[in-house]
Amino acid sequence: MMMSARPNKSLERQVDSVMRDTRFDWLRTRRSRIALVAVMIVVLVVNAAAWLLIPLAGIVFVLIGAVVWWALRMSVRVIADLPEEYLDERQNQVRDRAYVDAYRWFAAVTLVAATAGLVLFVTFSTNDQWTVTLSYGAAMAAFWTFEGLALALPSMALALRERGE
Amino acid sequence: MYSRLEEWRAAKGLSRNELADEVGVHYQTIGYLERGEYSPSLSLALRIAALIEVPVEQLFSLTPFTQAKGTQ
Repeated sequence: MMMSARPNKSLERQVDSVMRDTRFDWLRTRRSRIALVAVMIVVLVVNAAAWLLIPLAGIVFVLIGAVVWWALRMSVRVIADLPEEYLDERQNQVRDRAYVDAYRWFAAVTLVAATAGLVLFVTFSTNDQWTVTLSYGAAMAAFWTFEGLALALPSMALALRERGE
Repeated sequence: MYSRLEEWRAAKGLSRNELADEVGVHYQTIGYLERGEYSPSLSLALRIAALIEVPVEQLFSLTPFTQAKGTQ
């Protein structure tokens, strides 16, 4: 690996631990990464629906989402976690492009949601006022959808960009 | 990009890991280079060529290779 600077022993230990971690190599194949991205998308959608319909089921899907997110992180751990100076030129390029992808996807979702909110306000407001009754389930659905997207999109973009062997 | 890195690496008796360690990249990056799925920087291409002791144009090309390896 290209190692231009090694700031301290603690970082070295962390890097060694990431690079020598072969426990989850079965998650690092092309097929596994695509499957994890697909499952993450399904969990995010079902999680939002569950909070709206049966809030208690939402808690279960948050836990399932946490497990899938962890697996996704493990599948891209080397490129996602190592400092720039420990990645080679291709890995740096993949990480840069994946994070740009993730930013664009998140920006697109946020723009659509914000625009939808504005359109609803303009459509239904009276005297520049619009009272919205938000249920506990709806608030949790919105919170966990954006929380989930913010946490998972970078790993999803990396998983799709890094083919694996 | 077209690549004959795998043939030359094998002829040199190097594993992917050995070549990767020698030129300072991850072993998976060698796989991407061999499949022509990643275009290396000039610096990396020259380091690999120097290690394998062949001209860089024998390893990588923008057009398909027409000659058999070894006939330059």
